[in-house]
Amino acid sequence: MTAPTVDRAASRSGRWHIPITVEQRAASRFLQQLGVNLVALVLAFGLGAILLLMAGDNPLDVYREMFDRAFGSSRALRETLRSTTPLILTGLAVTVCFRMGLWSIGAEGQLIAGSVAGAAAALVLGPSLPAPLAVAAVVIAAALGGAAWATLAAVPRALFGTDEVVTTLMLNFVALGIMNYLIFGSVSYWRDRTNPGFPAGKVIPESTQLDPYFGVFDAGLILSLALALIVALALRRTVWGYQLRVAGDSRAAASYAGINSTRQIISVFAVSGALAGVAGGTYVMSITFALEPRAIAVNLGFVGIVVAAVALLKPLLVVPIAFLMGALLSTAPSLSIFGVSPAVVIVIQGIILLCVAGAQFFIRYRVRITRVEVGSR
Amino acid sequence: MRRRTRTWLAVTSTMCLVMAACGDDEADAPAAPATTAAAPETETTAAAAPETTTTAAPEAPAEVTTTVPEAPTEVTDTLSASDGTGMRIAVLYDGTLDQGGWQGSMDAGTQLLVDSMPGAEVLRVEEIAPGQTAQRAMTDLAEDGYHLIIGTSTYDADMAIVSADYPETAFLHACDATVTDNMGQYCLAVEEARYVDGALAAALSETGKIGYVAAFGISFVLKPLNLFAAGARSVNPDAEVHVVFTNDWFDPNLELQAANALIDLGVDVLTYDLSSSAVPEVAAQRGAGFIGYGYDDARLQAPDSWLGGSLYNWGAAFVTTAQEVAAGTWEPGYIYGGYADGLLGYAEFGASVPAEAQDLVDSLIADIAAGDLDVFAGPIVDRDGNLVVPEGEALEFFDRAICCEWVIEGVQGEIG
Repeated sequence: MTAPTVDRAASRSGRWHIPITVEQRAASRFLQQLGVNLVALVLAFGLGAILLLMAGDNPLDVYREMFDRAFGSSRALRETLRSTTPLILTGLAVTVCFRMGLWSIGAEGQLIAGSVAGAAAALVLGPSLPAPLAVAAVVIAAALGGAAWATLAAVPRALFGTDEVVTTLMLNFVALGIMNYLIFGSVSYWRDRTNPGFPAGKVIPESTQLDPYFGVFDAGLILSLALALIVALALRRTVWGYQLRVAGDSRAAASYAGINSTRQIISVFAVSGALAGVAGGTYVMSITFALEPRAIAVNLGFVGIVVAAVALLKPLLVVPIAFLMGALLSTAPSLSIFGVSPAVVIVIQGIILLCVAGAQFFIRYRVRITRVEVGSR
Repeated sequence: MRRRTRTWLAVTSTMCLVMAACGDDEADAPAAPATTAAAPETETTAAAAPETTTTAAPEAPAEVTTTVPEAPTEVTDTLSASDGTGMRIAVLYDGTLDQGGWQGSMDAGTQLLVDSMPGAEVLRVEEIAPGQTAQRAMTDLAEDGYHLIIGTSTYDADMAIVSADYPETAFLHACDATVTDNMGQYCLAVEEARYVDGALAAALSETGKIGYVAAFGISFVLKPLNLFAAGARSVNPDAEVHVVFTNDWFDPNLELQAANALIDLGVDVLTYDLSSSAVPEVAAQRGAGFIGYGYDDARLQAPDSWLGGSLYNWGAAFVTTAQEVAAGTWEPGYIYGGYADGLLGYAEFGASVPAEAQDLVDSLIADIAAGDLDVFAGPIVDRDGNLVVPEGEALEFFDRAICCEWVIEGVQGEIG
């Protein structure tokens, strides 16, 4: 059961002996994982309660409000699920890249590229196609847009070994600049010229606006759940997924095994970009109904990195984490209305995330107080 | 105050006429209160007298209680139009309340609403970004039974989406396009404000070069810029207005750099159309003067550099609308007005401003309010030499509201 000690050197350094050892757990059981996560949540809400008390709010009231606004009615659930969809997709996009050890932080830009392409498809094809086909066209266009944007970083990475962290990060700003230009800086196809007020995007046709089923969830959520399943299966059951995992564990082993790394890197980037692009497409169809730069560039791609990390890069785990995250983020305005200062809301969100992310550490490692006799080394 | 009484009288008489014309359409409402002003179809024409939208007198003659037919709760709410008893109003802000400029002027408006309708519950909601956050906030507020939801930033698309789902709730949005059965717009004649500001800047600039830090190169921002330059050149025909765009509504760091760059260029008077205090800070550091933007918070931040500035009195529009909503007489439209309507005012001058410059500002405001000076009167020539408004003509209401795609002569700097 006891796995090799990870951090002994640090505890031995200097004169002071720190009697704490961090050990990797050989295997953690499901119940154990659940327990650690629950403790983390209790801790998070406890810390949040202290903060709320200090700010003069009643924590119980605030938490009840938070719960009500996230899950308390079908309307509340709908808002939470609308926030969940893009986070599942960007979480999956990040997962795919990170599993191969490609540190792409470009989901934000790929989401924007997907929104631009998806909005274009909706505006061009929406009026002439029946609703299901129009929606499918938007999804495909958004996926292609996101994939194309990811390829811009993938090709230099695959051919010249360019650092993908830098290129994907920079491409986020380029994508944002292009989207802003299309609406604010030019009279583009996307911009609504008949609107005399603040520059706005053309509203997409009715056929491409997603209506919620039972007033709760829309087709975007179903699509994102299906994609989570497909990604999970692809990673586990396909040659592509197997090679990806091998390369993620050891690039050298992958090349010994004859895996074509150039093609692999580009294909993984493209899949990741397509997922983030679909997030942009569904966001336009379910929330903004137009290419609205200030509504689209709200860090969904960056939050996707947090979702993927907390979900331990497991595609199916991305779904519940995105759901929690969606609930957490989408209730922020409700708490402001309730009277909690926006600054406190942000700090509470941070505390909850930190505790949940920290819990993943305790799932993989355990901390033991070591008994060491004085003088022994 | 005298002006307010005058407009109040005008409104009262207009109201009587409107009521006489309406007959008993609103049998439910016992004697609609005289404090509210109807805004008859202002979205299509400006031909109506300047008094179409106006400061509603907060000191109501008598407390009139009316039943609001569109009360969202099952129990019929009893709202008081005069002091707002029973009324719930929410005001949404993009940033935090401690910002100045646009945001600060909006909050001064909310404060007027609080003071004028002491019985109403007025909620300020901060940090509401456009998009899903705004939709979420408005949905929650409508579900909670708020009677009036006021947006102070760019929520037009989101408000259009949410207001369609809550026909019983009144929605009011700042300076944009959508007007529906339960959503109206309010805006003020920034062109008048900026024209006066520009005139003061030119009167006080020794170099003839004035700096202008702006957000986006869009018509919404180009209009005040153009009219600022027009005002400046009405005083000094050779005045140059140098503009720098930050491409953000709130980026103090970039605003700081822009203001410094403008001073390096030889500018000695600065102005801006943003919410942060970056430009006043730079002006104070570098010994330049500056003109405020709609709100006089910066007068206290940098008193030695403060010259003057128009005040945006959004509160007039808020109070009018809230009272109409309470009375059940609200007709969503486009509230639009300037100095003549009490929607614009002027701040205290800085200590360094000579009496003749103060007189210039006062006389310009008097002329504009009296209708003797139309800031949009031709000839207006753009900086490419095209005649955009011919001599003897002036822009009509719709063109004023959506102005301007062009950039007036005298403006220097890259647009975008």
